[in-house]
Amino acid sequence: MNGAVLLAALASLAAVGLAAASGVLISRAALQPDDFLSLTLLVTTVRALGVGRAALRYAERLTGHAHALALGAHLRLQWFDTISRFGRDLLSLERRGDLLSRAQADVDARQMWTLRVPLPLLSFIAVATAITLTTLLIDPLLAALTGVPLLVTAGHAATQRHPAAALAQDRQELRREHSARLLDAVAGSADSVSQAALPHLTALNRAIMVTAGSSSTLAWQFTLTRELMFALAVSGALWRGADLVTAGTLTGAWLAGLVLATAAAFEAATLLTTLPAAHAERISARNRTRQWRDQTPLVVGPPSPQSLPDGPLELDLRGVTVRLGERTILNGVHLHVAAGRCVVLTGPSGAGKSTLLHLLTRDLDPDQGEVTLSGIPLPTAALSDVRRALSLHPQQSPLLDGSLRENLRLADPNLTDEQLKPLLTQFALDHLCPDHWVGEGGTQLSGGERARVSILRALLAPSRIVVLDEPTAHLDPDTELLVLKGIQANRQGRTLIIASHRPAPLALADQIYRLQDGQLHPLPAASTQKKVI
Amino acid sequence: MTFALLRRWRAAPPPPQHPLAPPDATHLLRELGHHPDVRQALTLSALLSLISTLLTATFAVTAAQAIATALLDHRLPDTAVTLTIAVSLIGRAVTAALRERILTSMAARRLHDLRADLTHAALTLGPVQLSAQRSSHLNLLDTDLDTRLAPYFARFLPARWHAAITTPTLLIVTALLDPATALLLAITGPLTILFLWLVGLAAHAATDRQWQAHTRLNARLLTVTAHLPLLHLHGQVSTYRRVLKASAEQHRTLTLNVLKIAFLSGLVLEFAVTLATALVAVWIGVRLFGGAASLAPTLAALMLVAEYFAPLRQLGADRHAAMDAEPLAAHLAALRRMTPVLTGQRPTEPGPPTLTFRDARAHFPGTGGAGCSPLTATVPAGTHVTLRGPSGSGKTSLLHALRRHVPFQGEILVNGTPLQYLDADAWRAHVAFVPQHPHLLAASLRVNLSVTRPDASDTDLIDVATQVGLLDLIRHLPQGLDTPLGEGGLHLSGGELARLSLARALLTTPALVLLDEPTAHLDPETEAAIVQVIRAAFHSRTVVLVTHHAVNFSAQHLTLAGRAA
Repeated sequence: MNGAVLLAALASLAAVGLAAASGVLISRAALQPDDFLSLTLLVTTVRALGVGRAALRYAERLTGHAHALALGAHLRLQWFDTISRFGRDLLSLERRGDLLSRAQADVDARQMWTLRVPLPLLSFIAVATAITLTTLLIDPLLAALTGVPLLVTAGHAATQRHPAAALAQDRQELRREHSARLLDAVAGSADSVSQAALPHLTALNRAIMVTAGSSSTLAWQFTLTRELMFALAVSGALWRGADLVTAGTLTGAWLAGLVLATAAAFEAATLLTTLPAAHAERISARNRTRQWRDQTPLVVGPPSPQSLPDGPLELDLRGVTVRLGERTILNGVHLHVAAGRCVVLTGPSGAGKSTLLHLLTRDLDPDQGEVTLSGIPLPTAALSDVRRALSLHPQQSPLLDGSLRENLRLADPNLTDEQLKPLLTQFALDHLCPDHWVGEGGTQLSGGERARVSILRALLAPSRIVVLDEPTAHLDPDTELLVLKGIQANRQGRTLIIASHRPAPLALADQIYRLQDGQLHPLPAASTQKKVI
Repeated sequence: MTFALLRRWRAAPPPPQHPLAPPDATHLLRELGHHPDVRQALTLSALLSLISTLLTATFAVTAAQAIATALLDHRLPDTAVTLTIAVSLIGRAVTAALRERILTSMAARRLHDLRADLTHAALTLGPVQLSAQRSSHLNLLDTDLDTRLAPYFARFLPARWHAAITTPTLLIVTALLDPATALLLAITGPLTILFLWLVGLAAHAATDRQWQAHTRLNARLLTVTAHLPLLHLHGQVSTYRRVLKASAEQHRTLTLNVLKIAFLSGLVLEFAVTLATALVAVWIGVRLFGGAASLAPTLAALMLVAEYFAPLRQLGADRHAAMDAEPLAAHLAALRRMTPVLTGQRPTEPGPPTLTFRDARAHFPGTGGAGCSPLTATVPAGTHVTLRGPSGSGKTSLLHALRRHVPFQGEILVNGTPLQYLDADAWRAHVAFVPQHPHLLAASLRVNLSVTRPDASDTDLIDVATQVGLLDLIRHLPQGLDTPLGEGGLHLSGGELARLSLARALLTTPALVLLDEPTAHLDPETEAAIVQVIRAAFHSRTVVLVTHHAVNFSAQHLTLAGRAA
């Protein structure tokens, strides 16, 4: 990166040098020296600076951007690592659209910082110093007439630092808010959320325009200052220079070079406009990343985990209590599930069936009591081990945006299409080809199809305990029966835990519990229905 | 295994329904600029460009004269000359600031309109049509609007005019001062433009690819983030991290390739400018040495060389801005073109409607009506019916068609008027929809309840909450209506979500209520209770309830045939 900054400074100096050298060259030529050879050095200088400047600029841009892009890739991964520490609790922390627009804008702001801040700043400083020092050697007043306008220009950019930063910040927040609200509104437009969102979106859009207008004011004011300073410096250099030449203090040939160089120096000031905002963006981006890094996930793995035993696992809940807010969802629940058994939990909606399942997959830890797998408390085992031991079909049946095949291979990466076909038939999904694109979050499939894909995926995973949350809620009775048969066929003797308010899954059960008022109540298993499956 | 996955994802084609950038993105971008506001700002800016160019020429001529006087005659320039220099430079400063002001505020206004358009289009299309679009796409469109389009309006469009005016004007001035220099400029100028055009063509193709990679990278980041719980569940976080890393790498390479070419156009220009300056300077030097020219006009010509190339250089830099904007313009146009349901003009009669279906089924453009079975039935005004049928037979899609969110085939009549003749917005205002999975906002319970009617009072909210059986929940929450809800309803059970959704519908006092399996997740007792709530609350309104269960809801059952039928 330092390389790019150095190249940028050299390129700017070369530009100023070129202007100066050509001015001197033609002035010297106009004085018609005795032989042309005395001009050769100047001619060579002019050519070298001409070619050198273009080459330097190209090299600077490539080095700078290559570095920025590499930094961007690194930051993106770093961000992913920060985020991936979170489990299900992530969704409650941030709106999804918000999360993405932050990630993207923040990475952009941070990766481009060097190109937008130190690079133009150092180039400007190099040019301003060179001009001021050179003119100081000739005459202090001349140095003041060229140096002060350059300084004022830089000073104006510096005073704009705070307002520009505030505006950039505002605009970024507003854009982010607009985009997040729009995504929310589109996602919710089926249930009339969109109509209500429109006034707010309109207001946000207006506010974005107002901040853009304020930025525009800052921009033209800077342009005015820069151009006025340019006028002052150039006419100042000309006036004082001519004075010095007539007085004999300054060699005549230098005058044109001086004026042209002063004009060229202001080109380096052009880039100072965007500097304050870029700097502010980077600071807020870093602060946000830090906030994420400092946030502790709801569930973390132990520093030195115990490993789970091989083979079938016994599952136990011992005196488990869960409170959410002031509601006690589970109150001292005991449950023992022997390996290979099927347990079905029933109970009214809101009784806490899903909460109980989340305890098993460690999306949540109980407030009291413990959950153990073959005697090992879940918090002492590695998170990845627990998640490998269990597979879950969540009630919402989330799908990846991809093909059907890709979704199923999430559970079993080696699944071939030949193996897949009979499975799809078993789950009444044979009308979909493995390449079928499921849409964002599976929205191209019907609710029932989505649930079946998710159930099949849970069964395909090489887990030892299969957990199904409301597997048949969206299905008509015929399909429901088919799916239950499919579950039984692909269970392969594994422990099965189902939460359902529908009666049909009870047929699979070795044991049925009703969850009500935070307690589990055993019910007799419906052995008579078992034959149906 | 990982490599197989990587290959697959890399090779994964975009979904067939995915509207890709149409071929003529340049044309679409130009269309965005066809607006009286833009035209007016550009005209003003062109006028200012001309004034500024003339002032620059005046400055160069007088400054060169002053230098020549000092150098050759050893005397100070006249006051008039000094004054002219100062005045022309100050005039230049004012015109430059004015131009910037006019252009940037025009860009801000234009972007405001475009964002409003985008918002409107996205909301009109709704989630069903947009599901083929990825939400990251929409997100990118919305957040990138300013960064990608503002430079196009504020810089690229005026830069073309600026170049078109400045370049010939300065060429004429130079020709008057020093024909030899003008000849050199007349040759190098067009050559530069030719080079720029050639390099631009190459960069153009690369930019499209880069935009796709950028979108895909962000889409992937969004997908992976949104599905982190799912990935954790299957122990696939590290696999997808590798996928992400690989696509980031791909993105980096692609972008760098684009930049190599894009910067090449910069290089060409820089070379042209600096070489022309060097050539002119050396040639003038040679002629001055030989006494074939005089200093004042040639020096003025030399000073104008940089000014001659400045607009071309600016155009080269801003051309990049235009290329950046093109894919965005194309996607914006694609989104606007997608508007599915042409709205009619007729107003909707107040009161519960009578619905008549004749071979009606939802029709998705692209996929056709695959899987959707037709319905022929009549639903008299104010009656409650259930709509049943096997999973995947198109029940939900038919409800979306009724809401005018997706097109349909066959006939749907509302009080005898074909549905497509009704004003779509007015019609939607009469219809409430209770979805399978109600969408939660990351906001308080109050906001989530009142989304359908933001002006509802707390009394109204408590009233509807009582009707749907949510009152107990609200009473038990420490913060009551102010309790925040997370995305996906982390703290609400499926049943409570359904009740929330019913409460939202109740608030709008609709004439027609469409319910899409709101009770699928409820136990039989609660389901029965909710069905009672629906019957009582929506009494004397037309209600269509999609369900799989045999619920005690209504006398009339509509049935969609299965796929095989």
